[in-house]
Amino acid sequence: MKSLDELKAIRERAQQALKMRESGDGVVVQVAMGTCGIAAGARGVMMALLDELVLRKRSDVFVTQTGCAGLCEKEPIVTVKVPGKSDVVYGGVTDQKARDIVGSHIINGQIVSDYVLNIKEA
Amino acid sequence: MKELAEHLLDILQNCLFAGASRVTINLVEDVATDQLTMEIKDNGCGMDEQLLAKVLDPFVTTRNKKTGLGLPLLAQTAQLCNGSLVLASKVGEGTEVTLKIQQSHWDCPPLGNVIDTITSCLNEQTHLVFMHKCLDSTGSVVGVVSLDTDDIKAHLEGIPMNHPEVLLFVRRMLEQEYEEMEGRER
Repeated sequence: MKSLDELKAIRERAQQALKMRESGDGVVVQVAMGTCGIAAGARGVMMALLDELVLRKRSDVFVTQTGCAGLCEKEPIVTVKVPGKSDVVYGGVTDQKARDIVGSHIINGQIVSDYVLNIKEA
Repeated sequence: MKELAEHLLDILQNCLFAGASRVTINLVEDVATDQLTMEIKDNGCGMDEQLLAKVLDPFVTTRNKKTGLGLPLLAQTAQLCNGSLVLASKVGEGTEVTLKIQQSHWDCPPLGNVIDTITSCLNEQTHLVFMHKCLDSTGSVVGVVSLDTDDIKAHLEGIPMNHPEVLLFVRRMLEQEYEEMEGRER
């Protein structure tokens, strides 16, 4: 087991973030990870999302996975779910676009309309 | 798929969908036989004989909207590269997928980014055990990278395994182990 101290520090920071999430402020980001999504680069998108969230110290945001959304030609597809707001589905996401989505939508609350596929009304 | 690691991710997604609580991944690169062996075993819902017989046919899937192309594509790659893809499954017991492939074959995709594949499949419900061994021309083990998610979960005290910082921690840990393995190989 490498760097138990590092893991302990992560645990403490994450416990704080979880309290925020329990209070209903938590944002969930879903990455479609079907065969089509994987072939289109969903794995890199997911890692870019994780990396950018940690860089921006937003460890209260959870990144989860779903299967194919049925729009294979639009993969990789990422859905951002902000409590109390409409779910926003982004298509054709690349590593860089994933970083833009974190910065603009999750951090600043501005939907990146250039990449939007659909907005599901809350 | 550009990498074997992407095929691995695709199979792991199947394991997770099958409700597996334990997934074991064994990768063995054998220089002597020029063969890469990839074994993925889960304890998910398994498949009956009827489904198992046709699961390598394109567009066969048990899920809505899925393409049903993951395993057929991998079978095609194995066939092209003097290899094989063997599936064994029992309903209620789980499934085992074994890929053998000639690594130096012209059509063999690179193994690719195994670290990101493993990292992106970690979750709270599944105990994942991963081992990657490299054997030299005499059959001796020259490098091993391993991960057991229970070792990490024991220190998390309720923090989910798929927390962004935990995932990146696991990624760094695997990167470090791969660097050490490459150092030993040299």
